[in-house]
Amino acid sequence: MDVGWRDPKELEIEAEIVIADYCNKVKPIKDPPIPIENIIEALFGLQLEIDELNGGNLNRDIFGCLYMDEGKIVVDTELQNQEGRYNFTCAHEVGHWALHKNLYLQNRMQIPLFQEEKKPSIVCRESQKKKNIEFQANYFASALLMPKEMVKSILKQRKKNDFTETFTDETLKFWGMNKEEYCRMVASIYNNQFGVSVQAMQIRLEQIGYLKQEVSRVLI
Amino acid sequence: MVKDFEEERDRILKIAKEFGDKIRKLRVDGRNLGLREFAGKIGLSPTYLSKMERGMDPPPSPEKIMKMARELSCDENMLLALAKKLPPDFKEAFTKSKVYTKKVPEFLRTATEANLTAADWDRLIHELKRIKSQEKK
Repeated sequence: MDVGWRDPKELEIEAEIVIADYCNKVKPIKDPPIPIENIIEALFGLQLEIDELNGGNLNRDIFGCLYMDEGKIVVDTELQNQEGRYNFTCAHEVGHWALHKNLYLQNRMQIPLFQEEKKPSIVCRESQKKKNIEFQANYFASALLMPKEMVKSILKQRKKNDFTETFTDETLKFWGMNKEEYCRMVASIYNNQFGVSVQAMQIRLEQIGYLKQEVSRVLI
Repeated sequence: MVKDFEEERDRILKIAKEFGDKIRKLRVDGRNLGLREFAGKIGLSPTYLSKMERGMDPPPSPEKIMKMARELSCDENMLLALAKKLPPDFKEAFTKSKVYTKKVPEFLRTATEANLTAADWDRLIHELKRIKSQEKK
């Protein structure tokens, strides 16, 4: 399935709608982590399963898949004990459900009515993350698990500590770290609270406009 | 032979499916607990729980089922019966002594054959307690 480009701002709104829906229909969310499993099962009424998706293939490329007609999300068994990646995969599949379901239904005519074995509508592979459809699901997942306002308010609470979310050459020199190391360190303060990996947290902070390198204001 | 095997397999699958459906219903509709979240609370692998809910794996041990019942706020005997498992203290009663090993099954068989009603059971239990308390005196 091929999808066109979509503005990340729209994806951000789509994720906010899901959160608002959950708060209205199921249970208000006050603090992170976002209850992604409950969003899948209680809000959307989808079936969530954990299963072997890579059939013993050592190169574990498939991390999740979605069955549109059955309303079923399957996460690869390898991720069952990796909280961050598990949650992100769940949220990624919710992204496909929320963003691409209509498009799938429109194109469904092309799919044969009787299939011997039911095949997933969307199979998500690590190696295809650059495709539009996968990019959108990833951006959506990021916005869903780390809502902008929630991240901002948590950053505000933490303002007392020594790390700043915008940094300069001077900051890096002070910590004796390069840019990458510094960003990873800041992300690692917050990632557990949101139930995501350090990498996902880092990407989100950058998306929101934190973790930005600024020019030193030290006078020469 | 083949027919026996198939019947046995169908019977086991049916138990697994009924038990799995019930757990999923109680977990999602009753308590709004996530799959991985619930597995963590019980001490089961999330993959196993997921397969068990679909009837692709058999129900867990009686101890785990009782833990599930507590988390899901439902009657543990009901869940054990659905999984066709015995409460762990039944085993204790059966193996407590030679007398118990002989008498417990005999007692249960007699009671089952007698087709006792709920009121009969209550009377029987009451009587047992009375005998015991009289002995003490």
